[in-house]
Amino acid sequence: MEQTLRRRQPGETVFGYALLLLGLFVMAEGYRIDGLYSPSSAGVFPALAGLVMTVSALAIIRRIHRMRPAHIPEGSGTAREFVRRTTPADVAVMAALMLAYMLALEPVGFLGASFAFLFLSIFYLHRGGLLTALLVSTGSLAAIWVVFRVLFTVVLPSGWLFR
Amino acid sequence: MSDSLSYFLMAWTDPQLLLLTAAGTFAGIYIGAIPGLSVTMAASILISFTFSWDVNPALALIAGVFMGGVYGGSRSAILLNIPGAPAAIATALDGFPLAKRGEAGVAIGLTTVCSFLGGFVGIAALAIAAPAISEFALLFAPRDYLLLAVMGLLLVGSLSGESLAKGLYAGALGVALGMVGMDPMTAEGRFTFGTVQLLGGIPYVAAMIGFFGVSEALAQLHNLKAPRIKQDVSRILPSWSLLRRYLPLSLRSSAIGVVIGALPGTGGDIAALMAYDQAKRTVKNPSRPFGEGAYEGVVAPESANNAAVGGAYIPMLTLGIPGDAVTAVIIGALFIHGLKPGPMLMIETPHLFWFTVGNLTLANIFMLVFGLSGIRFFAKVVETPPGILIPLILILSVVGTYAIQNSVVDVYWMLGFGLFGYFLRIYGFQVGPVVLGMILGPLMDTSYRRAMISAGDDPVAFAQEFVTSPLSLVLALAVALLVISQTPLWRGIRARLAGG
Repeated sequence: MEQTLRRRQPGETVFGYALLLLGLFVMAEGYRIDGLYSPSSAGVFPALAGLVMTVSALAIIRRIHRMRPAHIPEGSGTAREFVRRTTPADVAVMAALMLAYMLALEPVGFLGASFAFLFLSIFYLHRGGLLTALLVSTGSLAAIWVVFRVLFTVVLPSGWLFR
Repeated sequence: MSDSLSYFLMAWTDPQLLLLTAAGTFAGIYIGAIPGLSVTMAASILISFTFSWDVNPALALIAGVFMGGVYGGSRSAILLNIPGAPAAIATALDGFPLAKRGEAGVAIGLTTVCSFLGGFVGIAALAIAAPAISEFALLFAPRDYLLLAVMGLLLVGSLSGESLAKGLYAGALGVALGMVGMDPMTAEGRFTFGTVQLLGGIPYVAAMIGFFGVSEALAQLHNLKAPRIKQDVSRILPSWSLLRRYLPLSLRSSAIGVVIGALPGTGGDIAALMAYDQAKRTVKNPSRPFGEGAYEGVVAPESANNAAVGGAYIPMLTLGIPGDAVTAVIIGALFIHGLKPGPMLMIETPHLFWFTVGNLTLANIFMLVFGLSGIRFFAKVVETPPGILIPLILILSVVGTYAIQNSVVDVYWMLGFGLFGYFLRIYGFQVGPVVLGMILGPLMDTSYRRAMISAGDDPVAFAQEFVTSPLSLVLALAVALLVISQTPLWRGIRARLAGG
């Protein structure tokens, strides 16, 4: 019984081969740990995990090649379609905001960095106006502070940039 | 007997203990439900400020958090598709599709009652069969733990997703990630690339939050403009006919939960997955196909994971071996209070055993009460516009990860796993097997090596042991059956049989 296969997504073949490379790398690293000198050596299980990854990746690639190619609209290339489907503007902006937030967490401190992240992301995603973004980010940040800092006494970064 | 009863009722009659159990259960439900807050984390933080208390109030609070937290994880699994804890991974498979159909109220009501039933079965097993089950768990050799872990991984890999190959890849990737760090047997660095920072391994909680929280939030960005489904929470208490229909499945799943929970190292996560799988295989006519919002898909894992709570206490109290991560923390609490969990605990301090049984029973009742109330507030979470909800999930993920060991490096790991998990999801992979692989990987590795060393490093003798031991043989056959049942060959045989 042949299962119905969906269409191949843009970038899926490359992703499949990247997974295969990762599997081969894990297998090689497993071997490199101690040369697999005995069946109970430290490298055996990592190498086994790499082997399973490699064999599975080959099965995945075989399946990908059996799929019909993705429908690419006229005037758009595979690369553009890949970006449009996998990393639309919202995902790219939020990933960038997350990265900036994490980088700012220690120098700016938890409260400042979190407020900036919440305010900017709610303002961008919700598109409900400045006041909503301001109120929601202030209220939720206060609740998070009470739960983590006050209730669970979690030490949160206080920041050194504005000291 | 009268002494046992008075110890059993201690938490019921003392207002302070009653209040602490209630507060712990209430807090546990919310801790379990909030993505980024784990029961293990809460239990370990609680120990840090209850160590100066008497042992009973401290244990009452922690038991409440444990019982409530295991149940609470199902709420975020149903409402947000983000399991609050690994024990709720299986619940999300059918719970979230139910919420997408607007049936979050029924799903939560059913999971609450089934968790309550499962909790009771677990506690009854703890009270009645503790010594017998502990003896059975002692029969497990390292190779059996290996088989059990392989089974757990295969189960989660085959449960959903497009193909077994993708499930296997994800599981093996998780195992490889779980190997990162210093080898516990030889102290050799594995996948550390010469860096000291990697010797401690990759924090799996950061990976869990990244794979489940961040990748889900990023994936949700594709549906920003999708209309929000209003959840019907007008009827929370499930009808008697619905309960009667699922009672046998709930009891069956609870029995699985008790046994799996009692096995050292395996907790509610594997119990829930195994119960889900047995339901998938044994229920002939589910309310809907599994994975598309079958009631059976929430009844089985939720009964099992709460039954595993009582089960996890069995090896902890009788052998001093933790049944799962939370009981490992509780063992630490008992040591802090000068108690030595193990065979002597039940002889020297029998009151502690009966107090624990009574306390867990009370926490289970509170779980039912708190679980059936306040659902409207939770349902509102789903109706929150995604433009507000997604940033909140992301910030909770960051704070939750940072809180584990006050390290911003863990937060970077979390973002990395979140982005990787996002691409895995885009291409039809499940992220559950990766996280489970990370948790089970070290157990599989040490079990395999211990079994191999005990076979004198002889692969033939190693393989023979799987056939000569009846327990290993049963487990090995179960693993083989699990693999074969996922192959096209098996599907062909089934189709031919069905066609006559």
